[in-house]
Amino acid sequence: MDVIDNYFTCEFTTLSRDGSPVTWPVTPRLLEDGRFLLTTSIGLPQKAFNIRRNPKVSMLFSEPIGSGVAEPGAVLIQGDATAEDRIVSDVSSDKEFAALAETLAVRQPAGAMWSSWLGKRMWWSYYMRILIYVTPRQAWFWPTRDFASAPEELELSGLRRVG
Amino acid sequence: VWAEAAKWLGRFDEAVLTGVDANGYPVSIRVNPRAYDATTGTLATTFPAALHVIEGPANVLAHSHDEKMWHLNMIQIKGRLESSDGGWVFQSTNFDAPAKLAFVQFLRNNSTAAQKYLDKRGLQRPPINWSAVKEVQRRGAAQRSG
Repeated sequence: MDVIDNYFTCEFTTLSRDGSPVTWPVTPRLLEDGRFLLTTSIGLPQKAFNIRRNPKVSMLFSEPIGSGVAEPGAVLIQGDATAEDRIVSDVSSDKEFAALAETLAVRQPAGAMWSSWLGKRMWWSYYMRILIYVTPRQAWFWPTRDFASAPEELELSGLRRVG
Repeated sequence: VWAEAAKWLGRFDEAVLTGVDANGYPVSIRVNPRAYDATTGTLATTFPAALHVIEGPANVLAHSHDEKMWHLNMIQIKGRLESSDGGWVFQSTNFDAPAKLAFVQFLRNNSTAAQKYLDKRGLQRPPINWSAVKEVQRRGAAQRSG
C-alpha cells in the first residue's frame, strides 16, 4: 500500500485501436472499494477513447522519487477501466475527485499555475476532466524493483480499505 | 533515427517497457535505457515468465519528475516485442524526438483537441468552479506546511 499511496505517479497504459499499448505517467487514487480513480483533461482525451474501445489497462507503480518510501518496491495492476461521458469542471462535485486533486496539490505545488491568469489562457481545458475508474483484475509486487525477478502475485482483496 | 532515440533515452536513468500479455492486458516492467542499441533500435531484456507477455506491439516510455513533481520530461518509442533465445527483445519501429518548442506544441494540440471534444458533442465550455479549485489548493498548501 505504501507504494500505491505514496508514489507520485504510475505508468498507465491503454490499448489503441490497432492494439498497440500507449503509456502515460498519471496520478491515480486508490478508492476504498479497491478501484482506482484517475482523470484526464478533455484536451488529452486519447486515454478515454482507448478505454471506451478496449477497457484493458495496466498501472505500474515504479517511480519512487519524492515519495519518501524507504524501501521502494513496485506494483503492477492490470484491470478493466471505464471512462465517464460527463465532463467534470467542479472539483467539489465528487468527494474522491476532490481528494485526488488535493493529493496532486500537495505533491505538485507548481501545478497551481493552471489556475493563474496566464495558466487559464494557456491551458483552458485543464480543469475540464474526464473521470476514469480502474477495477483491478490482477496485481503483482516486486519488493526490490528487480524487474528481472519473479513478482509476487497480490490478493486483490488487499487493495480494499473497507469490507 | 535510433541514434536519436538512444540519445534521448540516455537522459533518463530508467525506462518502462510495456507489452501485452496472453489475456490481452498491457504489462509493464522497468528496464535499463543503456541497454538500448543505437544502431539497431533494439533493447534486450528479461520479462518474468509469470507475466505471460507475448510477441506483438510494445512501447518504451521514459519520464522523470523532481521531488516536487515538476520539471516533467517524457519520451516514448513505439515498437514490437519479440522473443529471442529465451529472453525478449524490444524492436523500435517509430520515434519522434520532442520538438524544440514541445511545450508550446503540447498546449496548442491540447487546445485543439479540447475544442474538438466539445464541438463533437455540441457542448459549450463548461464553467469551472474556481473557488473550489482555490480551496483544494489551500488545503494542499496547508498539508505541505503542516
